[in-house]
Amino acid sequence: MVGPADAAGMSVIVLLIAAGGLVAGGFLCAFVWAVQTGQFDDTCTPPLRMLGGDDPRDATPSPSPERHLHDHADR
Amino acid sequence: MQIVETVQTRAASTSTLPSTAVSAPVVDPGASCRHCGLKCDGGLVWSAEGIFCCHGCEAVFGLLQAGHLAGYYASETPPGVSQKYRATLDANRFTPLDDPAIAGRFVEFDDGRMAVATFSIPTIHCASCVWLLEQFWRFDAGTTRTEVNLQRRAVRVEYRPVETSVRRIAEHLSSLGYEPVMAAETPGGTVPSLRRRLHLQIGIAGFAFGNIMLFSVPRYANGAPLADGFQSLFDALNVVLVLPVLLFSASDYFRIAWHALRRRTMALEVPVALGLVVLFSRSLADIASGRGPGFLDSFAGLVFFLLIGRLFQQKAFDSLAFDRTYRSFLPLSVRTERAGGAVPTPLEQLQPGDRMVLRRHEIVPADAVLVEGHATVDYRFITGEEAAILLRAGDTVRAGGRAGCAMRLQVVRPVSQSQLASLWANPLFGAPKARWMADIAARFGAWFTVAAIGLAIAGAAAWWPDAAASASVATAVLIVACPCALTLSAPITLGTAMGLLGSRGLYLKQPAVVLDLSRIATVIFDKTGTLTSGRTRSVAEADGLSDRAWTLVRRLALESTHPVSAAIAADRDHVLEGVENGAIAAALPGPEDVREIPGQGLSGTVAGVRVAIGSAAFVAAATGRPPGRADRTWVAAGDEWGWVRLAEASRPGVEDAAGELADDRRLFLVSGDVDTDHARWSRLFGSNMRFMQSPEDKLAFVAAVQQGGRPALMLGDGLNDAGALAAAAVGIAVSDDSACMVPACDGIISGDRLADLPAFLRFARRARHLVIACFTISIAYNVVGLTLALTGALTPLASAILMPISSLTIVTLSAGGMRWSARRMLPA
Amino acid sequence: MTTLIVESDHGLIPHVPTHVETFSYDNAVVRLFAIATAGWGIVAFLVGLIVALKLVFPELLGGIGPLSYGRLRPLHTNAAIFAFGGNAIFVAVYYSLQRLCKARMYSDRLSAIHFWGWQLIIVLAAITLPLGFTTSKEYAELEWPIDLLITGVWLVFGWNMLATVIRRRERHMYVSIWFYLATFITIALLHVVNSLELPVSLLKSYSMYAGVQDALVQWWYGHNAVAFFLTTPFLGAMYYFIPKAANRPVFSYRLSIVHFWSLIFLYIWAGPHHLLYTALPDWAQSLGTVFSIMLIAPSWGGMVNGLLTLRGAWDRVREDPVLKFMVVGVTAYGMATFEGPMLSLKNVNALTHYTDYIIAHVHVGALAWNGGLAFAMLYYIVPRIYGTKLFSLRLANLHFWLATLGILFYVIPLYVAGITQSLMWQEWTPEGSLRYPNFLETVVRLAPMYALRAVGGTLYLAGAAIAVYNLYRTARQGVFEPGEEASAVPLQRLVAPGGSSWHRVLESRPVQFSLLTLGTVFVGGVVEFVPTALIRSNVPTIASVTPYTPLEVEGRDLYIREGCVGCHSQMIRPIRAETARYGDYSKAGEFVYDHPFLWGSKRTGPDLHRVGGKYPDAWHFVHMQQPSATSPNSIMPAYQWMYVDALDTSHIEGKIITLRRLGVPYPEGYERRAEADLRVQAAGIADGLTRGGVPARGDREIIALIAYLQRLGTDLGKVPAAAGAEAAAHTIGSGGQ
Repeated sequence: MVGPADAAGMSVIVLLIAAGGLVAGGFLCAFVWAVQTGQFDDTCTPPLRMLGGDDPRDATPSPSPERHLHDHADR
Repeated sequence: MQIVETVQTRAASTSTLPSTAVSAPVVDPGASCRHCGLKCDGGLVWSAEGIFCCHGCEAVFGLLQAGHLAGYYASETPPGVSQKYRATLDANRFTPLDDPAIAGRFVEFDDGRMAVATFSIPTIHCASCVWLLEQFWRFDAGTTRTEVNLQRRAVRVEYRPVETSVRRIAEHLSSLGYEPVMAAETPGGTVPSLRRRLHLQIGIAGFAFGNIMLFSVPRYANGAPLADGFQSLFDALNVVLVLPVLLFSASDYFRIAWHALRRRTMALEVPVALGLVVLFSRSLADIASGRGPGFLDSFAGLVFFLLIGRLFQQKAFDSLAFDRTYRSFLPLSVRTERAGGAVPTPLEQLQPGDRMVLRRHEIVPADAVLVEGHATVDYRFITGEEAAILLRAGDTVRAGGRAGCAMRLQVVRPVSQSQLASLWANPLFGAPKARWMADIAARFGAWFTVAAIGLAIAGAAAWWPDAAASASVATAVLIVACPCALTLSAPITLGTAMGLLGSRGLYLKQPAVVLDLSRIATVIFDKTGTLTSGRTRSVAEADGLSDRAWTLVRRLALESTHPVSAAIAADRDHVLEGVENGAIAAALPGPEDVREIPGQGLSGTVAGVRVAIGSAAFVAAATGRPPGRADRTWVAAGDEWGWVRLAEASRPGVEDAAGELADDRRLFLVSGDVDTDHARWSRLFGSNMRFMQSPEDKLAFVAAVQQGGRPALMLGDGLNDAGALAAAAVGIAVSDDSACMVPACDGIISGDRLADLPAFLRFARRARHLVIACFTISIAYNVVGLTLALTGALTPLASAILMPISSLTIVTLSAGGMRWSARRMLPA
Repeated sequence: MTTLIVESDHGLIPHVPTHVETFSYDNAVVRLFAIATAGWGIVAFLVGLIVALKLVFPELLGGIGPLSYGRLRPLHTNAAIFAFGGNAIFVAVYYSLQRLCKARMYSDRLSAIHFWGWQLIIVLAAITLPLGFTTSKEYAELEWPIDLLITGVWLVFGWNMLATVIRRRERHMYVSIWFYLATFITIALLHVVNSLELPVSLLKSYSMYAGVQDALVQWWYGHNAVAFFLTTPFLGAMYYFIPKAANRPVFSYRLSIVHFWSLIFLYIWAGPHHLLYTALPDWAQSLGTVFSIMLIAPSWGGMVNGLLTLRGAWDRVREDPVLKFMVVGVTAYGMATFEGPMLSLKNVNALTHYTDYIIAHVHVGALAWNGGLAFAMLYYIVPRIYGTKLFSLRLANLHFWLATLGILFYVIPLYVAGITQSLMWQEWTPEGSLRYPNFLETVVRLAPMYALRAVGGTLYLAGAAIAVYNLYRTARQGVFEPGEEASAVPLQRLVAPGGSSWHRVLESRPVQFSLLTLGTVFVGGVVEFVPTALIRSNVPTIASVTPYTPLEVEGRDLYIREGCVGCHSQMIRPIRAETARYGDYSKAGEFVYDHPFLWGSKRTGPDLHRVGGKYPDAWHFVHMQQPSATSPNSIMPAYQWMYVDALDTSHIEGKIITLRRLGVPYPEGYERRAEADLRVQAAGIADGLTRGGVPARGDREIIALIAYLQRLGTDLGKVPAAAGAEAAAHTIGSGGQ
């Protein structure tokens, strides 16, 4: 219906796939690295840690522990 | 009421506490501690900084102020951990860590220059804890870095061994209010490397799935192979992408299936593996022969979803330890009398005849006899009974007892042969429990494999002699017959259920337990600490005191946290001569020279009158009268005296819960202690009551009850229930704070949730029904698929649509269904 | 019960040991980027408002070339995306990355180069675009020297960021960092691939790709620019600033991790949905659709995660402007990410494409999501780096309401406009002919909506202005702290058991194997296919399609310069309503000489692909001098200057050579005849006009433009001559007649 979807026109798709593939492959490697180095071992502490004040005089946060534990237990 | 007015400097607050006690205006007893937020009733410390529930809290507060770490308190609810318990702690409890062998248990890395030690601290609970503990290097000179793992309730400490030591780190952690667990065993949880591997498998499968779809959709959309070599390019890419899925992501299924076959056993993995193999080889064949794009997208998707199911299966509460042996209740070492005084000795080296020097509140590690004088022990960890027992020289003390005061004991048996340990000698503790789920899985596995292969052969036969067609039909059948949906539904349903129960105070060891919980026919209760909370008691009878005297006694009782005092102070029922005197009591001025002798009693002067509460001997001594019957608690005020008898208070709501359970299940009461207030329990249990049961008796009883495959649920708390908990189809330990120590079990329920047990059991049953529903649905899908397969109409597109849809419906139905029912069936 | 603190004399008096590193967070660069964000934001909104007003009052700022609609529109989009959005991204990254890594940015010099470089790019854009130097590829209009500059500055940004991450003092990389890194890597690749172009002169270049290919690459870029420039970095910011502002941990950290990886693995492939119904082959279009639909899942996962973080904190949301803007932003993100996939469904797309509906869609994203988050961040950061409180909550709330109202006033009218016009385009009389054959009728109907939209824009701009004032006063009342002191412990390489390294990864053979194969396959793919792709792309498949004559080439470049593509598409979709209105649908083969493609994405005016020969030259001549003369009520601006300025033919030789390099079959040495041919053809048109009573000079720009317009879409009608270069040469030679 779209007329002669000409071959020539599409060869660029290969380029895009290659380019996209490079990125995807790169991210895959990053993923493997992250898992292997234990980046995702503990998913409970980081969200709380980032709330911590950046210097001692800062205020630290107040997530209620129950809520947090629930989050942990529930998934 | 005793109020300490502390006026002190920062430095002072970090060292010992001032003893200058001046009476000050009575402050609102409902005030809550600035450090830990607990109600300050009981002792109350009133300092320049604010109000604290105890000196411990006040000291930590002062410490943080000194460190400019006040940010710790910038939260809505005071984040601190109450330090009240410190009163009961032994100042030198960390000395054993000077022994490298013992310290070594905490160290995971040490190259002499740098070392890494991990402590488990159950009281870590919020962002402030994380924030403070990760600044721990401010408090310990040699510590270079600390990292908190909230999931495991653990702190990883990097330090310079030359500048500090495990002991000092432990001490400093504790002085910040974070008491590290000093047990031989610390909480486990899934080995990270296992979990990482699974994450990796899922990630790679998901990546491949997405990209294979990318290269498959065009063909489906085009309805025919693509022009200009695109088809071959995409096919090639698909094959490359699918290889890691086959070799890595799916590998476990092949391994398990292979082992099962080698052992002539059956597992659900067998048909799954079969399906996967066929799926892959058929796809390769199709692609190679140019017959079609193959089923590679289905393949990757299948593996991806299967692994997600696996993720649910691996669910675990890392911060809890379910597999504790008696060792985790005992100290790492005990001080024994050697040449030149008391030296810490690792328990392994403890020999009969050794003389152990115990301090107050240390645990007795081995069966022993009291060398001289009087002493008190309580068996709260063994029986859940917190009341102390008075011992005379020569009396035997069983391992696990808690010293009520300093004492010298002579070891009679090595640790490993104590009564306590003998329980673990029982084979039950070795072998893992037979889970119903495994059993079902095996049966389904066999059934499925046979059916699938049978159908495949039939299909092939039907299309014979057309070899190609019959081959493709046969393979198609095997592809569709792969019981992926079945493999998914159970873990996801049960895993979700487990999570939901966990968020409501019932922590299960693994998802499979839910299934066992759903078929409980018998519920067996331990009494002390389970039906009743070992702590709270109530006055059952009281006699001999005038109203006025009773008032004074209750005023004095306010001063102590001992169960007996608490019971007397809280008593509202035994109003003598019909006048309520609780209010009057609270109004009285604070007593002077209060003395409390652990295990014996409490005395003091209220409004100028000598008042005493305690054992017959104690009260006699305090009032100079002849002692009365020993089995009662005696009270005296001035020249009046009388006695009270205490009864354990049952946990709120637990009796109704038991009653509800009794409707469709058999109930038993199995208690280690004597048959007090029999009447009260017989209402619930009728004749199904056993008293004075030894741990072995309990174990045997559970085994007997389960004769004829009637799975039982055992609820207990103490170590003496450990055998029974292990023997029961489901053993659940009752615990008043999940941090405290519980015996080996399949689950831990927090004491205040015991009342919800019936709801929990109903919920477990619902989980089972949901699993069955999912099975039916997935079978329906399989039937559809099979008809397609047998008619030779199972195109790659068809399966690419059918497989993910079936998987997705199962996932959503399982997870969603459980959450929905949780909202309707479970108390918040 | 006396001693409560064990051995309290043991170093328990807090101290700062030697191994602890004390450093400071670089607030200076954050401040600079914040100022830039606010400043460029105002500019972007202002230009946007002007452009919007031009649709209501076509005469506004009339007669001034650099301020004409076609030239300002790309300025607006670029200012909004790269100046406002870009600087906002850098504010987020430079503020949060330092704190998440517990480290100062790797190099202050790189930070400075990044900041000033980026501002230079923006200024250059603000100069070149109005002057008409543009590649006409949407969101990539800037010419090649600036493209190179962008690449360089972007690499500096990436280098600075990566080095900071490597030097971090926090072992765990918070999810925001992943989003930031993804932004850097992907945008770098997209920009390079899409900007491949061959220069003619310092400020003129031709895209390496032609026609369909160019379109595909452009929208692969266009879509992913939205994905990775306007989405991922802002998601990263969301995951940092919402928890910080709400003082609550993110609802589910696991979900946020899943969100990231699924987004990364899906987004990159959804580009083609921008080309539905175009000459792109069906399967590629469906691919785009399928993946766009799949994108709903991760996107909504992110939205839900962001919003649920605030559960239990709604009281705070009521007070805190930061959270207010966050909530609106995240909600809008949810709307937009649901609407997008819907728009990628073919039948929906048939209705909405080319209409103002799309404009509304993108502005939900831009004004609410990007704008909302950007202002939320400014409200969060400025008071902190100036160590003070926000100057006025009431002003902030006023801003919030103005912005919200502005968005509504902007979006709703345009949704209505889009649907209305689209329905009118497709409305038939009982006799089966178009009810509104005259495109203009459908435009006139939109006037009130356009007016309302301008009101919305004004409100939003006013709000922004108030915000800037509020932030300025906040800064005034506070004291700026250029370096915020902090102390942390460096990471040490302790070989902790369990924790593993690359060796361990590579030990697990399958992973190793798969990674290596994947890598090689893709690298191989690039190396092998890129050249062939680019060369094969230029093989004509329709014999009668011939290259443009020199005059037409110049005319086409004028068409590009004036940004005609902003309002006129050149892509007739195979839909009855379109073929009936514009003529035979467009074939891929017709565009093989189009460097760049000029399909366009919006029809404020009619499609022009088959306009060639539709009207006499004189009509065009009059029309573009005074549109209302030929088309009453037309909202098209007049282009008087094209009648005054002489056509600059100085580059024609270079243009011919460049195009030949790109595969356009001009015969060898033709470039030397080009100028002469051009004159002949121009003179011919001019004479024709003059004879027709419209006195015209052949050396004016307008003549070239007319030549190009008259050529458009006429090739199919021609008798296919003998294939190859002679044919081309022949047609060119006989171009003028």
